[in-house]
Amino acid sequence: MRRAQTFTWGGLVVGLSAAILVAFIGIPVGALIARGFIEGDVLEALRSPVATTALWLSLATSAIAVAVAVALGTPAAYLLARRSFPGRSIVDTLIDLPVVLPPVVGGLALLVALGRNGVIGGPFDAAGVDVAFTTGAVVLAQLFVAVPFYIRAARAGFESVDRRLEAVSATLGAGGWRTFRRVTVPLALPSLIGGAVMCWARALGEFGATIMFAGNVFGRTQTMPLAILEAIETDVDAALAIAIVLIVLAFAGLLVFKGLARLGGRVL
Amino acid sequence: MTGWVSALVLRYRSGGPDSLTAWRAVAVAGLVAMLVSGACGPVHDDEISVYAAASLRDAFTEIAREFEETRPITRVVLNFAGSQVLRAQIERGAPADVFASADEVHARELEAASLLATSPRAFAANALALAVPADNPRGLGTIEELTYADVRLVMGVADVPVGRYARAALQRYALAIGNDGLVGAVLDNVASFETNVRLVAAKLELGVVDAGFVYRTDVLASDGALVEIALPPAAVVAAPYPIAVTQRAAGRAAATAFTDFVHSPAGQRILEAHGFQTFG
Repeated sequence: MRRAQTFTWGGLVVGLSAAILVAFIGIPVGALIARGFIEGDVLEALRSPVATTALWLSLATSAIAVAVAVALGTPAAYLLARRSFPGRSIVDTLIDLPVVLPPVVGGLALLVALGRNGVIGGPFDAAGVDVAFTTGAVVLAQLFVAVPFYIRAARAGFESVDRRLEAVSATLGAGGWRTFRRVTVPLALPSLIGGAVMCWARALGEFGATIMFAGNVFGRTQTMPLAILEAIETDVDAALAIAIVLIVLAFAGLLVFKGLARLGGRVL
Repeated sequence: MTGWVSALVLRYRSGGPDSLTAWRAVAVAGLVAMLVSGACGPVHDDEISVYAAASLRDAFTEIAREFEETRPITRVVLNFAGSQVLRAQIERGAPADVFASADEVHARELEAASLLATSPRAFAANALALAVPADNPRGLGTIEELTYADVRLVMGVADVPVGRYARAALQRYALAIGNDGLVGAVLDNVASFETNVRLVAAKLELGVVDAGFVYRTDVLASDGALVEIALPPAAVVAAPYPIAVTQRAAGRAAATAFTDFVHSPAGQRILEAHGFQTFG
């Protein structure tokens, strides 16, 4: 009896804490959506060139950023999971740094390095290539802040793969690349997809680094978060409408890809 | 806020035996009170909020300090942003007592919406300035050169006063020289549109763009990091700064005293020291 009561109290605390947290995130988002539908015209906002242009730019840049994150982040995550090398903990910490940095600091760092007078930007400028304040800069800003989310997850995925299975594959005559492709990646796939999804979500919502490094130009670098800020300063209802589009898009994207990750885990 | 929590504690204490549940409730109530009241600090008895254009940051910080010395019972809380942002905040009920704008448009709009208690009155004027980083990497010297293909500019958005003044200057100049395509060609070279002049100045000072439109006061404040390129007379626009007491502070002595101080010789002297033109 006493035992059951203790259990109930514990259950109550757990349930209550979870409910508070869900309400804490759910109520503000719900309130914003409700207010947006009551005061603003979401459909009209969806038709406005500011919103549609920003929407496509956001989708395109975040997709490219994720593709680059996966292409460059997968080898990095594998190295961190499987090899020990001098300075490993430094590299590991460095990769996590963008998560902690205020994004606007990340943008400033990119600007200092890749701007016209920067160590990397200088030679590019001399060759007549602009890096900062271009659509490419939007992708770089998103990559900078979002890639740690992919590497983190991918590394955990690789670490969870039983190394004996890789050894078996090797004894069956499979080379390193073949083993990686046919054994390691499939087993780590749910983590890889999950990491890519979080990376995409972070890239989609990126603001601070983008406005600093890529600037704010309609049609070129003005992604949805930037369009929302500019609208907030003049027409808050339009801002709410664009925000709702972003919320729905992000929510649907996360939902679909998380389902995909679960499916990937079950099939393999 | 502290008073709030202790009141709750007292109520629970006097309410009955000091049971654990009651204390838990107090803890939760305290936590909720903290979350609800947020970061509200102690409210000063005679505190005024001055919402001032971003370009007034240095001058108004100094003015507020001297004002507090002449009136020790009053504390001035400053909020700097693009004038269009401040106006939008006031329109949505922000607790501003004084509004100092970098152009007349935003002050007039607030007055038309009956959100000002006093009529906006100009207290100083600034000058639009075409500025380049001190090393002037592209060797720019004229407005026409801003249209060259490899030139990257930074400017204010259309709503922020410095962006509006810059567009007005370009339009006037284009008209004077009869070059219809000039404004569009300059705008095509803008790498970023910023929401206040300090952000424009920051990108210039970083040297990551070639030129931008700021105020003369920003060039002065940059301590040599920025150099002003003289605008032709046809491109000169007036940039008067009006100030007013907001409706919510109507009749508040401290708010009126602050605007009076800005107009006073002491206030005007500080503004002049920061490069503003005054009407003294």
